[in-house]
Amino acid sequence: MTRKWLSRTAVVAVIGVLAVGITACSSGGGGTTSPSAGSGTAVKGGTVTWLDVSGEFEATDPVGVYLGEEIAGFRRIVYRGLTAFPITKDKNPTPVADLATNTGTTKDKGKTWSYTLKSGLKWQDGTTITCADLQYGLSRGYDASLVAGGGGVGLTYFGDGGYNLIDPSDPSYDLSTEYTGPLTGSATAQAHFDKAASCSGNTITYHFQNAWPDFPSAAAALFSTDPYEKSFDKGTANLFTVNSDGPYKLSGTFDPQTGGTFVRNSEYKASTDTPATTRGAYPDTVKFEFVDSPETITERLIADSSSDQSAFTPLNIPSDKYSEISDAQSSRVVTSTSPYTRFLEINSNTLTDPTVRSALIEATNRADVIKAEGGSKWGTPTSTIVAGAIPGFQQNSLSKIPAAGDPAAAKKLLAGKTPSIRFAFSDTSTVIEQVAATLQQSWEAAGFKVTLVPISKSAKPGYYAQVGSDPKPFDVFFAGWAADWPSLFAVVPPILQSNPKGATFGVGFNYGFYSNKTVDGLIKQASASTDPATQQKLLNQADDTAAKDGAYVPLANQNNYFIYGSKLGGFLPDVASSYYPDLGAMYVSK
Amino acid sequence: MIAFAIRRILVGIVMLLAMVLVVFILFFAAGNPARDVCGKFCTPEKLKQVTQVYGYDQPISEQFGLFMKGLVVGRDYPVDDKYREALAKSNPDLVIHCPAPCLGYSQHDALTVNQDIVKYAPVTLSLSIYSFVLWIFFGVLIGVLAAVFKGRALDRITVGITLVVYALPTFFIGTFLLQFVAIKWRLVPYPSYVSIADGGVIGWFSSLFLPALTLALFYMAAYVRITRAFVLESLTEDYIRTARAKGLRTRVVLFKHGLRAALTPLLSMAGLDFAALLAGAVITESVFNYQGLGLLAVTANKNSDLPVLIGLVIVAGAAVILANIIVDILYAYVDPRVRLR
Repeated sequence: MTRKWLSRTAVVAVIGVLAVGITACSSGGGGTTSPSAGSGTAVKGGTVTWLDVSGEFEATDPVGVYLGEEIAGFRRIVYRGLTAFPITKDKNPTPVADLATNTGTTKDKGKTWSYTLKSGLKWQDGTTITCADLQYGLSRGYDASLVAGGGGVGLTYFGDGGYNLIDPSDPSYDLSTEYTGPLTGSATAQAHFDKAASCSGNTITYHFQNAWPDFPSAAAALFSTDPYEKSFDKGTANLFTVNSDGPYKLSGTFDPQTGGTFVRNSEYKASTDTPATTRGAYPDTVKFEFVDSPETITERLIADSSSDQSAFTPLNIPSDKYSEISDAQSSRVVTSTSPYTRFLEINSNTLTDPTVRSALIEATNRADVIKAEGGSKWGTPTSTIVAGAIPGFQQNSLSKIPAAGDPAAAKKLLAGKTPSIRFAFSDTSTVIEQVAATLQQSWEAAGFKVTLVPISKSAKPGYYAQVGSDPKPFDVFFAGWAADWPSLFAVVPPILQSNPKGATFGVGFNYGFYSNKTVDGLIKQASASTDPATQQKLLNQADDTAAKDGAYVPLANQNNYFIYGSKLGGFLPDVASSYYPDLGAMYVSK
Repeated sequence: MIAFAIRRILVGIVMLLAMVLVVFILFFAAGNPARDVCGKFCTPEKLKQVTQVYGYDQPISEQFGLFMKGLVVGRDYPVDDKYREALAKSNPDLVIHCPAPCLGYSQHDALTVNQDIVKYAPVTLSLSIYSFVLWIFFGVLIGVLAAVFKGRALDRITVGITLVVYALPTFFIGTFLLQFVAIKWRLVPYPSYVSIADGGVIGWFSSLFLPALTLALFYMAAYVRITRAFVLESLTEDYIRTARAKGLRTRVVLFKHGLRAALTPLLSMAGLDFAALLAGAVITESVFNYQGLGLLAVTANKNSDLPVLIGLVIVAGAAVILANIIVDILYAYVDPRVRLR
C-alpha cells in the first residue's frame, strides 16, 4: 500500500504528486497505452538504472520490504518465491511455479497448502536452499523487532482476518500472540510453529485456520513465504542486507539514501527458473540510484543523457511536469491504469446516520478532484474502492452518481439538515489543498458545514497515526489503497471488514471503523468458497452493500504515467509488478 | 580564563539537558511511536508486542532515565529486558551494544544513532568547511574592496548584487544550479558526493562544488555587506585618523589597524554560523541529496525516527554551545580590550 506504512496506500494518495510510488500493493495499469515490451529484441548486457527518491526504501530484508514496486523489483532480481507472477500483458494472469515444482497443492480446498522445492536451488553463497529455509523465512515475520517499516508484509494476512497459521494438532494455540519468532521464541512455541508450517523432506505444508483459496497468488506477490538462510540472519542489523537466490546479488552495500548496485549471481542457475516467463535477467548490472525528488528524476529522464538513457523510475511523472513532456519524449512515455484507488474514509463512529453519509457521497464532485490532481493522466472517476485492474472488478451502485456530484439529490437526502463535518487531509502540497477546497465547496453546496483540518507533513503523530486511531476528531479523511496481490481479497476485507473488539487503531485499512454484519458475513462466505467466480460475486456484493451504506466516498482510480530512458527496452508495467515497470523484462538496447 | 571556560561548559551542559528533556517529552508525549513501526495490519496484540520490544510501554520518565543512563554508561538493544535476555541466550551476538555516550538506536536505519551520525557527518563537515572557506575568503575580500572603493561603481555593483543574492532563498539557488547547470545545460556532471578516500582531493573538491557554492553564496552576500559596514565604521575611528596623521601608508592603516578592528565582530559571527552549519545544511543537502546530518534530520522527521532526531538535537546543540565558548575565548585574544569574567 503506501510508501511508509500506511503510506503505500494512503499517504501517497494524499501526497498526490508522489502519487504513485506507493503500494506494495499497488499500482497500475491496465492499460490505456503502449507497453513497449516485445517491441524490440531483448539483449544481454549493460546497466539498467532504477531511479527513485532517497529514503523511500524502508528495507531490503524481505520481512520489511513493503512497497509494491520494491517487492516486484526484488522478486525479479534477488528474491525468488514459491510462486511468481509471469511477465505478461495478460490482465488476469495466474501464478507460475518458481522455487516450487508447482503452484501448490491442497487437499482440503485451501486450508492446507503444500509445496515441494525444485532441486539445484542455491543461495548466493552456494548453500542449498532447503525446506527449513522456507520455515525460517516465514517464522521471522513473527518477530516484533523486525517489523520496522514494513511490518512483515503478508504475514499479517496470516495473523488476521481468518488466515491464522495454526498447529493442526493444537488449533487453539495462538501463534500470533505466543510465538515471537525464531530468535527469541520459546521451544514450545517453536514446536507449534514447526507443525503449522511443517517440513517433510523438501516439501513444506502450511496449515491455516480457514481456507485461503488464492494463497498461491499471495505467495507470488508477497515475501512472507520466501526462504531465508538462518546463518545469514543478524536480526535487526539485516534491515538493508540482501542474501540472494535470484539472478543478481548485491555488490557492496545498499543505502536507502543513495542506492546500491546488483551484479550477476554466479550461483543462480537459469535452468531452475523460467527466464522467459519470470526473469529475463538481461542487464549485467542493475543499479538503484536515489535522488532528492520525483521532479529531479523526471528532469533527468527528459534530458536523457549518458547513463540515464537506460534508466527508469517506478514513480509517476509529477503533474507539475506534465507540460514539460514534449513530442520528443512521447515514445518514452507510458500511461497505464493502476490497482490504486483514492477515496475518503468516513468515521462511522461520528457520522452515524447513513443518510447523511449517503448525502456526502452524492454531493462529492469527483471530476473536480481529478482535475485538481492533474486530469485524466492522473486518474479516472470511480464508484468503488476496487481498482479496475483487479480481476472481478465491477462498478457498484454508486456509479449512478454523476462524476460532478449531485448536490440537489444530496440536499434532498439531508432534508433541510445542515450537518457539520470535519475533514482531515495530509497537507503536503498545494495540489492537495486545492483538492480539499474543491471537496469543501461541493459539500457546502449541498448544505454541509465543513471544517478543513490540514495535518502537517511533519505532524507528530503522523497523518495516518492520527486518522487511524479511534476515537478521533475527524468525520472524513483522505485515503488510498492498492491490492497486495491482484485479488478482491486484498481489497475488500482490509478496508471493510469490522475491526476486532477493543481495537484502538484500525486493522488493515479500516480506519473509519466501519462495521456492518452483512458485509462481514459476505466476506466470511467468500473466504469459505473455493470458486473464484463465487468469491468475486460475494466480495463485490460486500462492497456494494457497504457503498450503499455510506462506508466511504469513492474518488478515483489512479493512472500511472511513466517516463524512461531512450535506450531502455522491455518497459512493461504489468500485473506481476503491480503495474509498475517490470524489471524482469527490461534490457539495454544496443 | 579557566574558570570562565568551566562556567560556560557547565551552563552549556545544563542547556543541553533542558533541550533533551523538552524534545523527549514533545516527541514521546505525541503518542505511541510503536504505531509507526507496527505495520499495516497492526492488531491490538501486535501493537502491544511491538510497544514492548521497543520499550515504549514504560513511563516516559523511565524512558528518559534510561536514555540519560545510556549517555553515561552505554546501553544494550533491543530495549525490552525480556526480549533481550531471550536473544542473549539464543543468539548473544545479535544483542546490540551501544557504547557511551549512547544516543539511542534507530530501527529505521538498523544502526545506533552514534553510528548514524558518524556515517553522515563527513558530508556535512566537508560541505561546511568548503563553503566556510569560500564565503569567508570571498565575502571578506569583496567586502573590504567595497569599503575601500566606497561610492564608486565597484561598490555600488557589489552592494546591488549582494542584495539580490541575499534575497534569494537557498533552495532557489540550489534548485537552479541543479536543474539548469547540472541537468539541462550539463555544464557539470550530476553532483554526487565523493569522499577523499574514493576520489582523491580533486574528486572530493569537484563533487562538492555546486552544493558548497549554493551554501556559500547566501553567507557570502551577508558577509560582504557586514564586512563593508564594519570596515567603513572602523575607518572613521579616531585611532585611524591618528595613524594616517602619523604618515602611515594607506595599506598599513587599512590592514593593520582598520581591518583588525573590523574583523573582531566577524569572528564571533563566523564561529556561530559555522557551528550552525555543522548541525546540517538542511536545505542544501536536501536539494542535492547529499547524505549529511541535515538530510538525516529531514529523513528522520519523515520517518518519525525519534532516537535520531533526539540525537541530532543533542549534537547540534553541543556544536553551537561549544562554538560559543570557543568564540568567546578567541574573542578575548583577538581583542585584548575584552576581559573574560
